Amino acid sequence: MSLTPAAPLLSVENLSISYGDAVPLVEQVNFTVRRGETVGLVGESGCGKSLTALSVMGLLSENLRTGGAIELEGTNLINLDQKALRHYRGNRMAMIFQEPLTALNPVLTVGAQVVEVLRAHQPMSKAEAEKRAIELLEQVRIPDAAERFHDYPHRLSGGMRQRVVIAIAIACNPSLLIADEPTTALDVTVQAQILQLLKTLQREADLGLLLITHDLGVVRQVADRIVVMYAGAVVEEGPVDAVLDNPRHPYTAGLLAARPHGSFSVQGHRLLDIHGAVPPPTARPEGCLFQPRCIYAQDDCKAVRPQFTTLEADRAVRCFHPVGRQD
Amino acid sequence: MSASPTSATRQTAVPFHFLSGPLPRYVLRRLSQAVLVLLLVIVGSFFLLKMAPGDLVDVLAGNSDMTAEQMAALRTQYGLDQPLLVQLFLYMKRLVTLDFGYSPLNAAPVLDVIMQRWPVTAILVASSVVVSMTLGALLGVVSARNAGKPIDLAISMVMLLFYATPSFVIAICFILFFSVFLGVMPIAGFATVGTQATGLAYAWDVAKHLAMPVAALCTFYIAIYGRIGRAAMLEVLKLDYVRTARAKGISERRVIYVHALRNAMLPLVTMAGLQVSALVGGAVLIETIFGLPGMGRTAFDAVFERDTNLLLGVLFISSLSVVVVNFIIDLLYMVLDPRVELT
Amino acid sequence: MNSGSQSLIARLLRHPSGLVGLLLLLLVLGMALGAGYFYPSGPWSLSGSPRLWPGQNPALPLGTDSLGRDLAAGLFHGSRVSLAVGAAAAIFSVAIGTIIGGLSGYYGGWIDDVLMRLTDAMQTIPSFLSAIAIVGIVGPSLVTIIVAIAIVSWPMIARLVRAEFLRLRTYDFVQSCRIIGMSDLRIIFTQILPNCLAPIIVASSVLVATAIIVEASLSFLGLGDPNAMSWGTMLGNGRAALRTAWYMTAIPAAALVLTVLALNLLGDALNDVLNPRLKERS
Repeated sequence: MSLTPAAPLLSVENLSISYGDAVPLVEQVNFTVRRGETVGLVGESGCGKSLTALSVMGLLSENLRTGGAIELEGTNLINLDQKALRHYRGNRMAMIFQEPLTALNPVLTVGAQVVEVLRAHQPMSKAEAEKRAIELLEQVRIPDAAERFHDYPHRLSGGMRQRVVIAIAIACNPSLLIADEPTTALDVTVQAQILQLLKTLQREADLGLLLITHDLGVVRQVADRIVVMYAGAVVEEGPVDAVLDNPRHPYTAGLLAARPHGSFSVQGHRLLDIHGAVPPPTARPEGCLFQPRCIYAQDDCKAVRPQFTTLEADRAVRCFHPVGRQD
Repeated sequence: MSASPTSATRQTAVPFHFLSGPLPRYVLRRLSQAVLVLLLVIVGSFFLLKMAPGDLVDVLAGNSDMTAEQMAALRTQYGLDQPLLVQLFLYMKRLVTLDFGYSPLNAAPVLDVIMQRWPVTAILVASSVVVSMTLGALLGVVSARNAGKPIDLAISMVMLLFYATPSFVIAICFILFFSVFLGVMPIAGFATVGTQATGLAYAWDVAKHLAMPVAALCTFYIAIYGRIGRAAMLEVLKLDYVRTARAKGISERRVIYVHALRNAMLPLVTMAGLQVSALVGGAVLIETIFGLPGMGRTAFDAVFERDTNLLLGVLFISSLSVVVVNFIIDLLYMVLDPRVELT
Repeated sequence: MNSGSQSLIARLLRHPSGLVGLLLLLLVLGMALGAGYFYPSGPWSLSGSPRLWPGQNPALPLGTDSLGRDLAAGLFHGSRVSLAVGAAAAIFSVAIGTIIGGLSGYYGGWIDDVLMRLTDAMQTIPSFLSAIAIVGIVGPSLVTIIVAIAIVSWPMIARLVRAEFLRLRTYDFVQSCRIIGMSDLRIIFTQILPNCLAPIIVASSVLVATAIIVEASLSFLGLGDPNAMSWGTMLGNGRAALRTAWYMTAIPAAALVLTVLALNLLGDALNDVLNPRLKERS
């Protein structure tokens, strides 16, 4: 591979996902993930985060249409058929899902499910794959891995099952790991362990990690950059600390304010909550998507949809009237 | 029999400890169920015999020419001069020792006749279960993956027809089409009469003879399995672990047949327990139509020759077989679904 | 109640399989009712030369059997047997099944244990074989056949009714009836039973279809009522002449399949119309 160090691992350009011709679910989504970088993709439920992640994996259901470009290590995945995609899935990119309790097949042993992905992508004998699978289970810190190998998923706790899912994901040394709310369904103490594990694995393998979450605390703790989505579009992007300390999009500011402990003041106003609800894909407003709920909305916001514009070198926002400080 | 002192003391220390593990308790529950089934068959048979014209000895005497004294002696021997409950008890005692009496029709003990006939029925029923489950599951997969498309509609139409057509009507249609019109299939029997074939050639001959009976016995269940399989597949394909499997980059065939179908098969296996019982009954019609020397055909002959001992013997052994098969299906289910623990 | 049942019929007519099923069933019902009018001399009378193919003689549109009996007459009179046996056996087994399932579900505990074990056991015994034993030993007559079918087919209803009772007995309106001191029998008959009629009706249509098949199977084997011309009897007679005159088998077979099909379609439609929540799930 003749990738320059600066070239991103994953680059999503102008991605759109629609149901039939009429209902756009995701529009104009742009972001990149670099090697060794953690990108937090945040937003309320229904904003299109999971759809975006599934479209990268090529796992959207057949009745959804995608447009734009999804480039992984220089290959545009969007033009590939399912057969060609299979070479990337589980191999160059892998995904961890939200519900560890239901993510594993109940009638197959944990070991068999790890072995399966190994043998799908690497020329390995059964014995080699089994040995490697046990190593992987050890790598995700599952105690007594050799014994757990023969267990069925229902014998394991939620946290242990999520470790198995992670082992499956990293089995073929992917360069990109997508984690969709990997800790939401887990106990708080287990959450921290799983996040720690992901962080360690990422550092060891120089993985690009796309972390989907609605939890800004998790993003602050783990991510390098943050991408904020609202109603199917990216509204703000930038380094985590910069964005969270000084949000420029009113929606990002509102999200921060809505956190249980975080009240946040912008330009003297105290934002306690964002009023209203995310508009459904069938009823998205004219102009700025956030305009009906935005207390700063002006006439231009209601007429024209703002472009995603770069503010500083590494920050961009989709807003005519950004809030916060101009650095 | 002398038990070693240690095992004796251990048993007194924890009374009935052998009943406490999950496996023995499960076996015990199954056994009690089996006992109940057999009890029901025995009591039912007993009252049927009481309702039949003539008594047990008339039946036993059958067409043979016994003298009145011999019959009186038999009545005493079988306790027919005793109160009803005592008679029932005596009858029970005979049946649980598998003493079904004598079959005048075959001039042999009923048990011998049944032992000779049941393998045919076993082969017929077992093949039908395997064929209908396999085809039903496949049709369920195809229609679930094409839900709403023309092929799904076409399959469901055929299923509707299969579901409404009794097995003996299908059997006659097969005979008419394949044996009478086309002349490609043997019309009756278990194997070609007087065949000298052995080994594979014999197996092929038997398979050809069994193809139509099995197919006729299957159609109704193909429809049922197809329906259940379609619903189960649709349900399973929506589940998270199917998405996890797809995310691994394995072939779609593996996703469907290793991940989804194995789970979707579980309700079909549950259904098989009921199916076996119905198939054993349905075998009467099919074996009669195709002239197969199995238990069903035996029951049919027994009815018409008024060989009541034989008829009730078939009923008893059939019920016993179903109990045993259900036990095996339970065990199979546990192998297929590791979440199920013995209870 | 009247307006309710009217709207049920109307909803069935709007349902495609309900419409087809209802029309087919009305046709069979018409045949049964008109049998005496169209064929007053009954199904056994010899009305033409034997083995007439359908269409050979315009007066005998469906032809004659090996003895010269009119197949159409047999078909009409046979529909009476099928419907009568189907309906009677279904009523009996619904009655038995409802009592056993109801007691089991309402009282629970050891009563439930005993009755459900009994139901399990009944479902294990091959039912068609039991029916043959009953009819064969007691002697073939319509009553025996009906009783035999009822005896072997109640377990399905019992399971269904038990499940419904278990569900309904926890509901508030049942609980409050208990609190105001209503007797168990009154609660069962006035509160619970009316609420589980829908699934029982749906199951009954399948039960009638099964009973018709069992009767036809018994008659086919020669275990039918010797005084009643049933479709199964015609099938059994026709089988002997399968090589030369397959129409003798095909005609009653078609009638049988269409009737069963009609009942199944009606059952599906009733299920959709009466249990909208089940439809959503599938």
